[in-house]
Amino acid sequence: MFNALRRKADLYRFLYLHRRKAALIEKWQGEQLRILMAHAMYNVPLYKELYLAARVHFSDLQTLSDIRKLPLTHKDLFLGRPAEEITRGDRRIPRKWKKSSGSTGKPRAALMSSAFESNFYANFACFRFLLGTVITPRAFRDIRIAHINLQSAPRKGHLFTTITEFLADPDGVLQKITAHRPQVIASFPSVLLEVAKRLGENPNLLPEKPRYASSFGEMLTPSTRHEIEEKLGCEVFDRYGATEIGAAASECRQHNGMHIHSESAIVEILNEKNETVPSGVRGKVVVTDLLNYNMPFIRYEIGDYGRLSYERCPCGQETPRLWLEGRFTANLVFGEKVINHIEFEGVFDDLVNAVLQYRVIKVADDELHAELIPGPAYRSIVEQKIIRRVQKLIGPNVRIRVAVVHALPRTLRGKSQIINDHSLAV
Amino acid sequence: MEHFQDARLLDLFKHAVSLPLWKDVFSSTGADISRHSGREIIGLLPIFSKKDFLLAKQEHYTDATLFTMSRYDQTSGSTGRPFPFYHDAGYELRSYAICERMMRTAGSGKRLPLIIVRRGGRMGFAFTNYSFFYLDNYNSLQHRLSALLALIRSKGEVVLFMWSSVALEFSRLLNMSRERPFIRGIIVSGESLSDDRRAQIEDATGARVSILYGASDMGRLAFECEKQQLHVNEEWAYVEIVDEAGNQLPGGVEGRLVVTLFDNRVMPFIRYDSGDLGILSDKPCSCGRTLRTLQVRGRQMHLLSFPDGRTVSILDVAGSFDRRGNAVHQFQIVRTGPYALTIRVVPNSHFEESREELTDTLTQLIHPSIQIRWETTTGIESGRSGKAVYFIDQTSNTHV
Repeated sequence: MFNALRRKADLYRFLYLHRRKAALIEKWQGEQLRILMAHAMYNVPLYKELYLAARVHFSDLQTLSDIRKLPLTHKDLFLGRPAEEITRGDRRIPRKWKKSSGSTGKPRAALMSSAFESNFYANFACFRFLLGTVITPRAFRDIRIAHINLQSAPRKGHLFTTITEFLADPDGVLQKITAHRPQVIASFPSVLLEVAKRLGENPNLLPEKPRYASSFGEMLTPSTRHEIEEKLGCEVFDRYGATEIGAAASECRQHNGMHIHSESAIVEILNEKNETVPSGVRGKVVVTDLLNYNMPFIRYEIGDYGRLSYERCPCGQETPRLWLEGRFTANLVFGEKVINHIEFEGVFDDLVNAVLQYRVIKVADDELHAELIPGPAYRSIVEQKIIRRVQKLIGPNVRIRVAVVHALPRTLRGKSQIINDHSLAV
Repeated sequence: MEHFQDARLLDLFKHAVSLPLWKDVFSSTGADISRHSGREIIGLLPIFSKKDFLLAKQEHYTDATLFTMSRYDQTSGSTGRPFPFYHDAGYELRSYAICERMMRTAGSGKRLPLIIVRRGGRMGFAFTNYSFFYLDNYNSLQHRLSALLALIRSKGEVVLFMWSSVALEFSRLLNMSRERPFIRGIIVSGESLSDDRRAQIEDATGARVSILYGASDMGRLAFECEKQQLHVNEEWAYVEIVDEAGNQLPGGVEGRLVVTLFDNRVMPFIRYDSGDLGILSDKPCSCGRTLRTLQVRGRQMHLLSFPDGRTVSILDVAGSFDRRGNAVHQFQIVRTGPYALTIRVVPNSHFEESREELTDTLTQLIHPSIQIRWETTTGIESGRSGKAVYFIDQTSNTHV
């Protein structure tokens, strides 16, 4: 009862905050950052260690711009550490580890903010473009949404289908979606594109189209957006997020950059010397999650590149807007089987400490290589596990070889390319 | 005390026979409440283990009319068998009085502020004048030591309650920090404590260590007096030592420790096998108390040490299974290498869907580099003593 009331109050507070002046939002974020830093200093050993070494104290944070005094954090700081060093130690928390290898090919596990346990907030964070049409928390909770995602996470009003299920039987999945009558269809742009292609061939597969499509996890190119909007007859809203921080930015109806979720995220863009770049200049994305007290991510280098604008958006919101660069989409085709890069990520997701980084290379139509940098928990059994899982994905007729390497090549953007098709070059 | 226990037993039996399971047991053994005394009836009844409860239907041994007043919990104790149970409100209320007696004893006759250092609060332990200090696991203490010391300082002189392994770690950290907070007594529980480890804790903390023997399903069965003798809380439970056939053994002879709890109506525990071995004695104790004394061979303290210096208490590892009775009937953890565990499980219906989450939980708790291999089996054999073996260390030939 008390928790439900508190969540409702939080949601109204967040709704209100989102529409306030930029200066007020900054002031609020500065206060929240100070509280979060104090919590992290006292209750999370990793941060205690970091802040002692950097000689910073939460009282040093007077305004939001003081965030620059704090040291940066990154994935490697969290990897290989036991849970009690990277999570809060002052209170019992639900330890539901969310795992992902993400776009960098580095498997990792994170505890989400408790806010995401609530349907109210999870829907508000992911589908806030509905703010114009949905105004009450109850309505937010009850939106009908069809997800095509890597894993299923059953929630009231949500239909979950896995990408593997969809790629294996797209028509069957579209029938299920039709029966659910969703207002929103949510998936990766490459999967939404597949949905659009199927509907292009047979529009009757989804007679009642959803009003909105929500895309995340990959770059949404203008041509992909156009194709999805045309074939699905709906408006596409892109959002930005990651395993560690959940949803952090969403498009408004202007579709010109993604508004930072002011209640949960502080986003900075830094250059290679870790200095803040001016508005509109490209750099690496650094995020602070203001809501996650379970496993704080403060000034966390997420591994993406983008640019930020503080110019006022015609929609009226004064929150900064983010344009992302560097996320990619890739499929590998083996005979009739199309394997999305997200499915390869699924193979490595729970090998957090066994595999530090990986890439897969299609060498020929009947041969695939996986190269990996081993972690402390790597054993020969891991290799067999990978072969078994990949074989399940691509079928028994493809030879799979796993090689342990010391380094993986990077793209010009500095990210590792986890999906590679060398068969095309032959 | 015998009259009192007789009356309490009869009172319990009168309620228990209203439940189908106990009604059948009483009628099949010929136990008659109107003709026999409580102690006579006890001798006629069979021993009940966790396994017996798990095989029976819950509605046959619980009183659903009391559920609203009761508390649900789970434990695997020293048997490696996750077990769900209920305690009723009366049970908790009586428990407070017994705990106050233990705290007074631990405080050398003074009821000092108590600090409970644990992962979860336990009802029935302290009604007033106590603080709860959250500690996620054995390794968390090194990160939370300053917070614990600050809490102790704010209370003046205190009595601490913690797991034996945590007390040992606390003493190690105190030695390193050279702090000497005002701690009059430390009540330790959960694991057996050897004499040298007790001395180590007492040296570092300057506090007197007293042992509390109990379990979450059975409550506080015995407490240690100033003369280091475990006295049975006779007004709480009827404690027996029996042989394999369930016959009572005379004082001084080791056997299975079986208890009958007086105050649990929602789920009566009658001749319940604790899973531990013990010896009862009615020889007078030099402390002056007339309560019988008990020696217990319970859950051993065992620490998993890794080559990189990390140490994990096996109690924390076993605790990860406590609330997963729907996934695991019974478990046995076998350390096969420095960073390798094989976990043998008798799976329950939800095992497959919980396996990944359990692996994650254990990896995060034990060591990021640990390799966990699951092995499903239909049964896990007991040790030579007949006691369940839930941990085997093949790297050092240890069985717990």
